[in-house]
Formats: sequence, C-alpha cells, structure tokens
Amino acid sequence: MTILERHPPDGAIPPATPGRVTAAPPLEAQLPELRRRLLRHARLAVHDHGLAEDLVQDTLIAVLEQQDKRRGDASLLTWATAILKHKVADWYRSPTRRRMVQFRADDESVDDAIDALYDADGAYVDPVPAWQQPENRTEQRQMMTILDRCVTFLPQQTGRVFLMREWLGFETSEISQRLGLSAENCRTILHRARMALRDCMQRDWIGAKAST
Amino acid sequence: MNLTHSCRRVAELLSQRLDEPLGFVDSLRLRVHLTMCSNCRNVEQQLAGIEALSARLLSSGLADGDDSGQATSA
Repeated sequence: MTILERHPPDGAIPPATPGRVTAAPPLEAQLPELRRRLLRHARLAVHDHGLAEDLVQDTLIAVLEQQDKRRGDASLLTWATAILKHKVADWYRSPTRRRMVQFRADDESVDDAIDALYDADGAYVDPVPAWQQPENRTEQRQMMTILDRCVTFLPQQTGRVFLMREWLGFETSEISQRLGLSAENCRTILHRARMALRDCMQRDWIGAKAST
Repeated sequence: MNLTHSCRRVAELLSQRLDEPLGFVDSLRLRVHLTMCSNCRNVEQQLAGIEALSARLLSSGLADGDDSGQATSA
C-alpha cells in the first residue's frame, strides 16, 4: 500500500521525466491500474486474496526497482506480468508452502456441460461448427477480451490448474505433485477447463458474432 | 474392441496431447478417428486456437495492444 499512497490523485499526473523518449505517463501514475490488472491475474492463479496481494505487492516493488532493465519494446503490463509469473511459480515451488488440496464441488457444473455435448455412445449430439478465424485486429482483440472473461468464469480450482499449466508453464507432472493430484485427475481438470473455455467461446464469441 | 475412440474420448486425447505425448496406440486411433470425423477435427482446431490465444492472453495480462500506458480506470 505504501507505493500507492505516494501516487498522486487522479488527474494530477506529474509531467514526464525529462529525457524519457516514451510518450507513456510516468511509471508511478500507471501503478494503480497495473496493480488492479496484476491482482486479477494473481487471484486466478492462487485463489487466496491475501497471498495474491502479497505477490502483486512484491511484483510492483520489483517493477519500481528494476524499471531500468525493462526492454523498450515490452509493454509495462506484459513485463510486470512476467515478473508476477515468476513470483507465483516460485511460491508454488517453495518448500514452506502448505499443500492445498481443495477441489470442491463447484467444478461439477462444467462436467454437466460436457456431458450434455455427447450422446450415450460418446458422439456429439449437435454438429460441431468450425470456427472462423478473426478477420482483423479489432476482431482479434474482441476475441481476446471474451476469452479473458471466459477464463475468469472457470470454476476456481479448474481455473487455477489451467493457469499453472498455460501461464506458469508447469508440466502436468509438476502440477500433480504441487497440488497432490493424481495424473489422471490433473488431466481431467485440464480437459474440463479447455472444454469449458470452448463452450464459453462458442456461446459468447461465435454465437454472438453469428447473431449480429 | 472398437477400432477407434468415441468423440468424447477423442476430445480428452486432444486435450492430453497438448500436455504430453500420447502413446502409440492412442495416437494412431486418434489419427484414424480425425480423418473420419469432421466434428472432432473442428474440436481439434478449437482447442488449438484456445491454447494459442490463452498463452498470449495470460502472458500479456490482457488483450494485446491494450497496454498503451493509459490508466483508464485507476
């Protein structure tokens, strides 16, 4: 919090530091928004608000301390997200971390949605449509925004495993080990996550596009 | 024994294949099924698309190009 307290009130963005070629506002003015975005990301990956706050706080400190090391072509958010990623991965790998195995019943709604896709023989009840590729940059960004929202809709535990795999880049064997899951269970959860995202994208991206 | 997997099993294998190499038999049956089934080919394409997009999304924080440095809703 101490970092944010030093941030000027909204609208009072200080002039850019002389000598900086970039047109972006100074780093400190961007911190509240950056913090909000990182926190959202961290919460998907760890599901403990206190811990997410701590990891984001550490990340923001690193951002401030290491801003000279940032390469010019990486956006601030991308760079900070990479720092956060290492902090989350380190946390999962730290020996002192308590093992958390709480796969709750909230994940079952996704199973029902998957069940509904297939008949008794495991064939698709309805034809699966081919998805059109996004036609331009605007559509591509819309698609990303919808996927972003779909990821946040994932049941908590499912979302966490998905982020460990797709964001932290953990192998499934490591996810199983860190979370105390069987390999089969881990596979099932990842499959469930992907099918839920597919379902969500079908509805909110492809479906919405078709109805316009 | 069925010569190929059900579509449901194929979807599971398509997902598993994104995380680890499949065994020879599963891999073969998957390929055979995909040649015959357009539904599963579409699912294959969709899962691959989601995989690629997720990787970009998660590493960039949010939608690409949306970080011009403007703190819009601070």
